[in-house]
Amino acid sequence: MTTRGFTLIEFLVALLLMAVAIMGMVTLFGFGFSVTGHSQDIGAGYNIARREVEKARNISFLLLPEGTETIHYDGFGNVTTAPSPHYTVTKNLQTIPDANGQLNTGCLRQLTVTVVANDRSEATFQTVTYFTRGGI
Amino acid sequence: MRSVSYNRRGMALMLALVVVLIVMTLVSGVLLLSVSHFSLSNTNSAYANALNLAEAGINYELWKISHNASQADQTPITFEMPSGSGRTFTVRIEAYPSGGAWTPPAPFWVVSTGHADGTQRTVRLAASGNGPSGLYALFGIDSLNIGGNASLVGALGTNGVVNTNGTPTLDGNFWYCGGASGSDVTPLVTGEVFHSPLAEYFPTVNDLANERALEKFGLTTTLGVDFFANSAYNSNASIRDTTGKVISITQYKLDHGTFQKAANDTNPFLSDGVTANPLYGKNVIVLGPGDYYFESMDVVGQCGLKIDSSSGVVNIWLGKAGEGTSAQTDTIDGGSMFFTGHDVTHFHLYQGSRRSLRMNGTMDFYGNIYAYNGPDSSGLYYGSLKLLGDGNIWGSVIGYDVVKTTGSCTINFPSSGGVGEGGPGGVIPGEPVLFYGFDHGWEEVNPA
Repeated sequence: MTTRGFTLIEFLVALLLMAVAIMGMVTLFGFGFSVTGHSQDIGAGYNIARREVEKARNISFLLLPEGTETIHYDGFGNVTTAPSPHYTVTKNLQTIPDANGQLNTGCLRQLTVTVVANDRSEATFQTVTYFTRGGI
Repeated sequence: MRSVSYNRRGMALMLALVVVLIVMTLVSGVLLLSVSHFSLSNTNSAYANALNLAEAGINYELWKISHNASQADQTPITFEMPSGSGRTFTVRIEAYPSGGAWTPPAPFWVVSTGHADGTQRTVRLAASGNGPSGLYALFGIDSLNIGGNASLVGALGTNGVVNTNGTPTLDGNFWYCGGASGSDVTPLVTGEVFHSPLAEYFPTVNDLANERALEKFGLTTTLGVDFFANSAYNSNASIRDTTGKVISITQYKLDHGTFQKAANDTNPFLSDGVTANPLYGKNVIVLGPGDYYFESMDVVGQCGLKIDSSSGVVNIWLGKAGEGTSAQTDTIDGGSMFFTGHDVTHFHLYQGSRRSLRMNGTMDFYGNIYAYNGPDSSGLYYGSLKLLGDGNIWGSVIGYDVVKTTGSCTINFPSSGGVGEGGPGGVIPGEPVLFYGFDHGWEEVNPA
C-alpha cells in the first residue's frame, strides 16, 4: 500500500470536517457578535440612563417637567435627531400625590428611565429613582 | 520538491484537524471574550442600578422625615422599587457626625444601600433642616397683590393669582407655581420669571407648631398652635418690661382692654406697674428668647414691643386655628417694635388665626412673617397679610389669601443665587423645619 498523496475519501472527510468547523465557526462568530453587540447596548444603556438621571438632578426640583419625554441617541452616545437613531430613551417623571391627593413641592417624584436599542426593539436598561425637594 | 508531510495518507485529515483546532481555539477565545464582556456589562448595569436605588433611598428618607421627623428610620428599612422587581434599597439615618440616635432638628447622616441583581452599593451624605423663611422674600400661597411703590428684593412667587398695580420694583426672580396666573410681572422683574409645574408646598402654622414642639420639647403632638397655649410650653411667664421686671400676662394677649392696668397707665396692653421707658417714649414690654403664644395682638399707640433675640430665637404664635374673621385685624403700627439685633433668622411671627395681620406706617421690622393655617371645618385655608404704609421688612413674608403691599413698603431678603430658593436656607436654629435636605459629604462607603 502506497503512502503517497491524498485519497478521495480522505479529502472528502477533511472537507466535511472543515465545512462543519467553518459552519460552527460562522455560527459562533455570529453568536459572539450578537453577545458583544448586546453587551455594547447594555453598557451604552446604563451610561445613557445615568446621564439622563444626572441631567434631571441638575434641573431645579421645581422646574422638572412632569410626564414623559422621548430622546434619541446615536451609537456614539450623542443626542440626535437623525431618522434612524440607535437608542430611544424614555424618561417618565411622575409626582406621587400627597395624602390629600395634591401635587406640590412636598411630594416625592419618581423618575423612570428606559433605554431601548432600536435594532433589537428591547429595553437594554431601565432604572428608577426618586427625587425630593432638597435631595440629591 | 514536495514536502514529506504531503506524501503521507491521512495528512489531509490531520491538517484539517489542526486547522479546526486552531480555529476553535480562536473562536473559543473570542467567545470567552464576548461572554466576559457581556458579564461585565451586566455587572456594571447592576452597579449603576444599585447606585440609583441607593440614591432613591436617600431621597425617600429625606422626603419622609421632612413630613414627620418623628418617623425617621433610625433602624434600617427595606423598600422594593419598583414593586415586584426584586430590587430594593435599605436606608437608615444616624446622628451627625458621631453616629447613634438622631434627635431632630440636628444634622444627620443618611445611609442607603441599593441592591440590584446581586450587587449592592452604599452611599451616605450629611443632611440638615431648612426653614420656610429661607425660600422667598414674598410668597402669596393663594394670591399675591403687589401695588404702590413697594420695593421687593429677593425671590417672589405665588401658587394662585398675582395682581400688580402702581409702580412696584421686583428685584429678584419670580415664580409662577402650579399653574399660577394673573398679571405678567415680566416687565417689573429684574431677575428671571419661572413657571413651575408644581405648586409650592408650605406647611400650615399648626404643622410648624407641631414640628417646633418636637424639636424643642421632644414631644409628638397634633395640637398645632394650641400646644403653645399650654402654659407649660410657652414663655409668656418670662415677659419683662424694659427694667427687667417680669410681667404677668395671664390671658396670653397683647390686646386692647384685656389686662388690668394701673389707673394712670395709658398703655392698654400692659399689666400693672409697667411704666413708660424714656428710651423708647412708650411703654415697652420685652420678649426674650422663647416661644410665645398670644390669642391676639395689637401693638399700637403708646404700646411697644421689643424683641430681644440677642441670646436666642424669639417665636410668636399668634391666634388659634379658625379663630376670628378676615374682617378682624392684628395690628403692628410703625414705631412700635424694637429689636436688639438685625439677624432676621432670630425672630418669627406666625399668624394662626383668620384675623388679618396688618402692618402700618413706617418701621424697620427684622424677622420673618408667616400666615397660613387651616383647614377649617369647611376645608378652607386662610392667612391674611396686609403690608401698608412705608415699613421696611428685613426678612421673609409668606401668607395665604391676601398678601397686599401698598405705599412704599420694602421687603428685603436677597437671594443667595440658588434657583428657586430666594434666601440662604439652611439650618435656622429655633425655626421649625420645612424640609430636610442635602448638606454636604456625599460619599460611597462600604456596605453596612
